[in-house]
Formats: sequence, C-alpha cells, structure tokens
Amino acid sequence: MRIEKIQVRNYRQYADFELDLVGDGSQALLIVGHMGAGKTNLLNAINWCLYGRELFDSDTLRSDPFVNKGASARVGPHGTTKVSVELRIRLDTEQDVRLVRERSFKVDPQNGAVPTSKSALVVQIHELDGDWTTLDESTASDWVERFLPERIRPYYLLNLERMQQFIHDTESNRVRQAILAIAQIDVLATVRKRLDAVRRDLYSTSSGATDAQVDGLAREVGEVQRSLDSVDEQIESRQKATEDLAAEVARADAELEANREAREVQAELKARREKLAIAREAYAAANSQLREAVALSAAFVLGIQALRTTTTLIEREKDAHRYPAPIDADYLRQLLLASDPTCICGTSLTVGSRERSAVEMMLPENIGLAGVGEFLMRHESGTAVGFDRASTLSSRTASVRNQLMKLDEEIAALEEAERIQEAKLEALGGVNVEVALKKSQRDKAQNALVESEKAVVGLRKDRERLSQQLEKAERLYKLALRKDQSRQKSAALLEFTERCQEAADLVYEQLLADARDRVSRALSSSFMKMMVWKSQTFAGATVDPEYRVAVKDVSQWESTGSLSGGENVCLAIAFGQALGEVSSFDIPPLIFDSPLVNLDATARVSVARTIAENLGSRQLVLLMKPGEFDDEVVAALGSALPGLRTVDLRYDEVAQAARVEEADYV
Amino acid sequence: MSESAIRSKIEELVDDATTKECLLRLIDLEQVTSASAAYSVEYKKILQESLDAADAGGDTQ
Repeated sequence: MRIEKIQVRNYRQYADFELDLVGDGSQALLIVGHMGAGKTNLLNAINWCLYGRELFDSDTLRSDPFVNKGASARVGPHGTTKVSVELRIRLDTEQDVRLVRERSFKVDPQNGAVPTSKSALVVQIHELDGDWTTLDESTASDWVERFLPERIRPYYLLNLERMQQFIHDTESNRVRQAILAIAQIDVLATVRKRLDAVRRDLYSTSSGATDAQVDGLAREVGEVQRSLDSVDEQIESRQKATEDLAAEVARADAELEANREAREVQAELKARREKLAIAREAYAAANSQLREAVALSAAFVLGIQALRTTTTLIEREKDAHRYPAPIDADYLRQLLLASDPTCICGTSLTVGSRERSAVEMMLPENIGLAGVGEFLMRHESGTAVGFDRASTLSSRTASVRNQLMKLDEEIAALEEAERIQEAKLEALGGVNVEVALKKSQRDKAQNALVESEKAVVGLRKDRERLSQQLEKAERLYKLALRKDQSRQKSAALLEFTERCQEAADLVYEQLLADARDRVSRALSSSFMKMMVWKSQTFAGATVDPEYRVAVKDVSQWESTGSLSGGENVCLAIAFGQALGEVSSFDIPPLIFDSPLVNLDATARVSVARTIAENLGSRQLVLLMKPGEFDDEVVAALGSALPGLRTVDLRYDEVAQAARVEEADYV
Repeated sequence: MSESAIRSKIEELVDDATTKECLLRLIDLEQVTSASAAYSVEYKKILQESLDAADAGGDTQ
C-alpha cells in the first residue's frame, strides 16, 4: 500500500496544501522542515483523515488552533469554513482509493473556530471499469478498519517517544497486544472468546427440560454463568480504566519530565546569561582601561619625542664644542661688573676693550646653553623613566588587547549557548507554571491506578472461584444431559463447540509463538545492524516468552532500562520495523517523525542505513529537521533507496500557510 | 505473515475436517463483520450447520 498524495485544506499550518508523496514512482521521501513548519501536523492530518482524531489529541501541551489561522481570518468573525484532508492510496492490488474527511467550522470571535458539524469520511474506490464507487459512511469506516485499522496505527505512523514508552512498559503486555494486532491473530482471539461465550450460553439456555435434575443443574450453570459474565464485564471495564489511568500517569510523568527538563534548561540559561553579563562588564572595564592606557602611552610618546629632539640638539651643540658652556655664566657676569676686571687667564677686560666686547657677546649664549644643559641634566633620568613607563604601558596595552579578544570570543560563545538554550526551551514548550497542579493530578491518577489494579486482582480471584464452580456445575449438567435423550442434540453441539474452542486455542498459541519468534529475530537483526559502535558489547535483542523486549550483552540478557538514550531509540526503531515482518495487512507505509533527532552522527548513519535496507518494497516517508541529518545520512539512505526524493517544508508566516518545495539533498 | 497465515495454521494443526471447516467459517465471519451484537446467533448457526453437515456426511470424529 502506498499513500500517493495528500491534500490538506484549512487545517493547522496548511491553508491549501498538496503533496505528491511518490513523485515519479519513488519509494522514499524525505521531508525537511524547521520546528513549526508542520511536520508533525502532517502526521496528525493523516491520522485525522483515517480515524477522525489527531495522533496527538491527548497532548495537553498543544495549543495551536485546529483551523488554519489564515482561513479563519479570511472568512472573518461568524464566517464559516471547512477543514478537509484527502488521501490518495494505491493498494498492492493496484487499485486506487480516495479518502476524504471534512468538518465545518464557524469562526466565533470569543472562542475561535467552533465545529458546526461532525467530521465525515467519504471513501471512493476506483473500479476496474474506470468508475469511482462511493462507500457510505459506515462502510467507509469498515474499509479503514479492514485495510488500516487504528490498532495498528502506532506501528506505521511512528512516534519514537511513544514507541520507547511502549517497549519499556513491561506491565501491561503491550508488546504482546501489538503482535496480536499487526499479525491479525486477534481475530482468532475474538473467535476463541466468542466460542467460550457461546459454550456458556448453550449451557444456560438448555433449561426447560422435563428432567428436574437437569433443570436444576441448568439453572445453576446459568446462574454461575451470569455471575461469571458479570465479573468478566467488571474485569474488562476495570482493565480499561486501569489502562486509561496508566496512560494518564505516563502522560503526566512525561509532562512533568519535560517540565523538569525545561526548568533545568531555564536555570542553565539563567546561569549563562549571568556569566554573559559578567563577561560583558569585564569587557567594558577592560575596554576603558585600554583607552586610558592608550591615551597615557600617547602622551608619553609625545614627551619622549620632544626629549629626543632636544637631546639631538644638545648632541649637535656638543659636536660644535659649545656644550657644556666653557665658562660659568655667573663668573663672567661678576667679572664684567668688577672695577678691575681681569680674566683668570690674565687678560684685561676693561670697558671698551675688544676682549670685553667678545665676552659680552658670548655671555647670553653662554647663559642659554647653561639653561638648556641644566634642563637636560634635570630631565635626563626622567626621560629614562618615561621610556620605561612607555614600554610598560605598551606591553600592558597589548595584554589588555589580548584580554579583550578572549572576552570577545567568550561573549560570542555565551551568546551562541544562549540561543541554543532558548531554542531548547522553546522546543520543550517552555516552563509550565502549573507543576504543583500537574503533580497532584498525577498522584491522584497514580493512587486511583493502584486501587484499580487491586480491584482487578480481587475480581480475578472472584472469577477464578466462579470458574471452578462453573466447571463443576457444567460437568454435572453434562452428565445429566447425556441421560436425557431429548438433549442429545444440544449435548452434541456443546461438545462440538468445545472441540472448536480447543482447536482455536491450539492454533492461537502456535500462531502467537511463531509471530513472537519472527518479530524477535527481525528485532535482533535490525538492532545489531544499527549498533555498529557497540558491536563488541551487544550480542542481540529479543522479545522474550513473557513478551518483554530485552537486549543481550556479551554475557547475559538485560532489561532495556540499562540502555542509553541513543540505544533506546535504535531499539524502538528496530522494534517498529520488526513488527512489519508479521503484518497481515496490505503493508502500510512507514512514516517516521524525527527518527534521528536524539542520535549522534555515527548512530544516525547506521540507523538510516538499517531503516533503508530493511524496507523491502514498503513506502518510506521521513520527516526531519535540517540539523537532524547530514550528507552521510542522505548518502546512506540514497545508496539503499536510489529513487530517494527530498522536499523542503516551509511555513510562510505572512500567508499563514505551509508550502512544499522540491529540494536536492541527495 | 499474511491473512492466510491463520488459515494455513488451521489447516496444519487441526486434523478434524469438521472442526477445521467450522473455524474457517468463523474466521470469515469475524473478518467481514466487525463486533456484531448478534454474533451468538451467527456462531450457533455456523456450529450447528457444520455439525449437521458432518452428520450427513458421516465424517465426524
């Protein structure tokens, strides 16, 4: 069986959407879409079309409206709109079938879109003569029940989280139920159950005999039978209630777990934000230090340049032998003021003499040179200090620059981490503030579950007692009946019914054992193919005689509880595919929502390869996020499935509609 | 496994022809009608018919 086309109108992200799933006959399709593009709602649309309910309708975290927002806006307040999903299916017999489910809604300004009709399914079958035959509503449901019954839905519309819960649930025997359903052995189980009821009925309806003893025994059998039936009904009802409660507890646990995780993510986000704020402060402080250091350094450099210029001048003066000043200026001044000025060399410096004029001319230059010399003497050591400080400042500036670069990198890393944490938080649906309420609801459901389980145990004891009583009464009744010639025919029918029941029991047990064995072998083979990185650790996987899924390491069998997250994902995928081995239905497509999302790069490639290689002729639709796969994954899929087609699913926020575009990831 | 797996297994494991035939008819009944409220009447009818046919043919166990 292949789903060839899906058309969705006015449903969630889809305004007017059509997707050809097989293109030019390709067996596999990879749909790539970001979070919120509508991948999961595509599964919901398929489920709604087939069964009249969404795949995740019990998920209280979902809040987006059923009717496409754009469609509601287009018709305006009080306007009416119709939601429809159409599937075009081709059976293995090459017969085409069209399934259309529709429901009308009215836009209420206060409550959003409210339904104005029940959802209705129409099934049309393309006959050999070319005409389309439309089945009426009840027959349409029968068609779905026959070809794609809802009880096998979890094994072809695969949601990993639920599949993992499923194989870990060792209490409710769901694995056994899954094998019974997919192999359609449950038909035989129904026959067994009904034969048993008929057998009891035959006992209880044989009253009215002339023989008083037979009459009395028949009445007794009838009474015990009625009690037993009543207990059976109670057990069935209690079991259903217990399963519902167990599901409620599991759901609450999953929500609380998601919430706990969201809180952890939020706390981590807060810590990272605090770190980021500290890093930003440090950055600002370092930046300010850098600016100061640069300014100071510039001042020193200017000062040093000035000193260097002066030093050059002095050197020049030294070279010209004009520095240091040959004669002390004060001495010359005093000599010129003296009444009998005579130089130490004995030259007379009398007023008007040539020598005096020369000294008078030399004096200002001498004074200037002495001043410069003193200045330089005074600042010579300061210059050296200035050089040192400028050098220190320069290395400090370089160090602060390095520090700033590191802070820049740290801030970028922290900002990236913040973005990742925010995306994680969004993916987890944020933090739910009603945790206490949820916990209390969960505990209440858990208590009710325990009570319900106790009640079932009590009822089973009652049933066992009544069964024994019934068996005894039936034995006596049969003995008496044989004596009654008029009841010979009834007795023969009764005995034949019992024979049929025994035969049905035998066939049922044998079929179930065979199916378990086949699922177990397929599970082990797929699991080991996927676990390439642990091929030395694991020796296989199995569905044991108690219908528990277990793995075997090199020495012993272990429960699935000891597996890592990635190993569990592989086991769940392997189990989902293994169930296909015993399918008694027109083999449905395998539709996986985000199968590789929790795996590392190595596991992704081996899981993708195993999925593709184990596919046989089955149709495959993979819905993945862009980061969920890489070139190696696509290559692994493409090598086993040469016709692999890839498309991008995008949500246009302006048009409020998802659309699909051909893509080339192969 | 296919739909005929149940039939094959019945053929393989059930020796008595009347029982075999009756079980196959009951399986057919279950596959064409879902959860009929009148199953008890239908079942008795099929059981009786199988038994009568066996009596007539003299091939009961």
